[in-house]
Amino acid sequence: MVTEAVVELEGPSGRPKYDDLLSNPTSDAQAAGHMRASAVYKQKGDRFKLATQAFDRQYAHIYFQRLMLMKPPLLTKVRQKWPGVQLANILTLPENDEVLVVGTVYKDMKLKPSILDEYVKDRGASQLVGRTKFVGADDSIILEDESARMKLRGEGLPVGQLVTGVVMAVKGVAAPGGDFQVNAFCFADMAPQAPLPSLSEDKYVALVSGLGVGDDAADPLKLSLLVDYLVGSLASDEEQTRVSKIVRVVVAGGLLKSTEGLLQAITHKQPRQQAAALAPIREVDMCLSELAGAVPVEVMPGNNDPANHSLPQQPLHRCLFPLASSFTSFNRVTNPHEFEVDGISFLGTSGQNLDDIYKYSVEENRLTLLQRMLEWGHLVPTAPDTLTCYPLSDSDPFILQSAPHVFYVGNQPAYSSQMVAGPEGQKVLLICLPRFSSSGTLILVNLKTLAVHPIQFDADISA
Amino acid sequence: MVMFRAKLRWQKLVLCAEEQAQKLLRQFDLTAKYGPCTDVSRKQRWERARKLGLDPPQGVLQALEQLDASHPEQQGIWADRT
Repeated sequence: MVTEAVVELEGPSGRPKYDDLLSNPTSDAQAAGHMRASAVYKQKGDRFKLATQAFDRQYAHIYFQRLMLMKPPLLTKVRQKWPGVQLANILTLPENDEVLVVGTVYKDMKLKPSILDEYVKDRGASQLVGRTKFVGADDSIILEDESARMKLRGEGLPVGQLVTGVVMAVKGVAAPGGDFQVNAFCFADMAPQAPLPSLSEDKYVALVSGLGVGDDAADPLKLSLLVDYLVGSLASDEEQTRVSKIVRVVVAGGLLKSTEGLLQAITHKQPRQQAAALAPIREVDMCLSELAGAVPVEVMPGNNDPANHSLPQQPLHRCLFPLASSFTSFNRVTNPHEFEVDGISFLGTSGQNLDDIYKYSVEENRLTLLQRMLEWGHLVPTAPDTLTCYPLSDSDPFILQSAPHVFYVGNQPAYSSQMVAGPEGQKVLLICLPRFSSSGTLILVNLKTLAVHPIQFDADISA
Repeated sequence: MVMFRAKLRWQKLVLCAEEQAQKLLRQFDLTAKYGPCTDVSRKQRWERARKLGLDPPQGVLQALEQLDASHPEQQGIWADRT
């Protein structure tokens, strides 16, 4: 789906002529240059910001909050679907009646890496080396509510697709032996969505992720081309008209290849070695300051970026970007991030949530997993089980209270996008952003039509 | 003699009330319906239960408000033990 260096956007057709930039402007209007379009921006990700950071709470509180906050809407939905079925507590399940239980899923996987494996002599590491998925045929689902837990049995239960941490409602009968025979199950389903506003003119939001600066194998010319393109100093006048319609650039994590350089800079005593170790972050800072001078930029931290490791990742510190921080158009935001541009809501992460679910689910298609996340009503269900999460206790900010219009995930191996529909007429655009360091792809989302345009930058001079 | 017996009876009554309050708070801690009782003070847990609509008993809040803010009974039963 990714095209070559020829830009294929809507608008007047024809290949861009590079001669246009090498000659005098043909008209006064052209000489005046282009004005960038502007859009109304609203920051909606305040719930991901942590006011205090206290680590004395246990993770049981997050699970309790998650269950209690997701239970009421799930119950109203389920009462309509299965009227007349009693709600029961796991601890006080009646013997032979068909009941309804709401709880959190725990998936028991034998292949799941556990720290205790080191102490068991016969299980070697050889089983787990080279595995991308930890699912097995003998995985089982256990449902937990605030009182107790029970094992679920049932042919229709999608054991392979479920992951730990999803809140589910099941209807069935208690089987002898303490298990529960499931007849039907239900999830929270897609949350309500604000109506899609209609815009009068084309405007674009540019999404990119995985810049990977500091990687010796990566080509720094690609990043240069990207910055030049977004600033508008690349290609012909026609192209610049289109670029002037890009109202926002979002970098969804993955700025640096790794934070090794920054950590080594502390140990190096010589200024020359220190400068070499800090070169990647300086390069990122220069690129971002160039961008911020031309277009509003938002930067989300990724897995290998110098921000806290546990979700929700807090914004990168402004000292890392001394040049870019002087621009008000430069926004350092959290991961996950939610914002609204001209009424179109975007929600996205830097990829840790999708990568983690991918490991524990049989599903191969990443877009289907994104759709599942919307169905389950939770952005990061596997936190805190397998994905590090901050020990929150007041609320669970990852619960999807409303469905966004665009749902993006960064740092994925390949680009893919799809429009999915919800049960109440919601329409969500799902986008998997590929890593820029390997694919050189920038994604433009048209706010008027919700069409997606990938633009590939290739700096290969030899071909 | 009579005064001594009356004093003993009075002390027994006061102790009974304290014990009853302790029992009530302990039961509140161990009720799984209101969530995990570790790492939060009893008042915080009561507030959380009220916000989530779980209808915690008013008697617990009254018993907590009668005590000092630094009273050991303000913390749950597992405080300092985990």
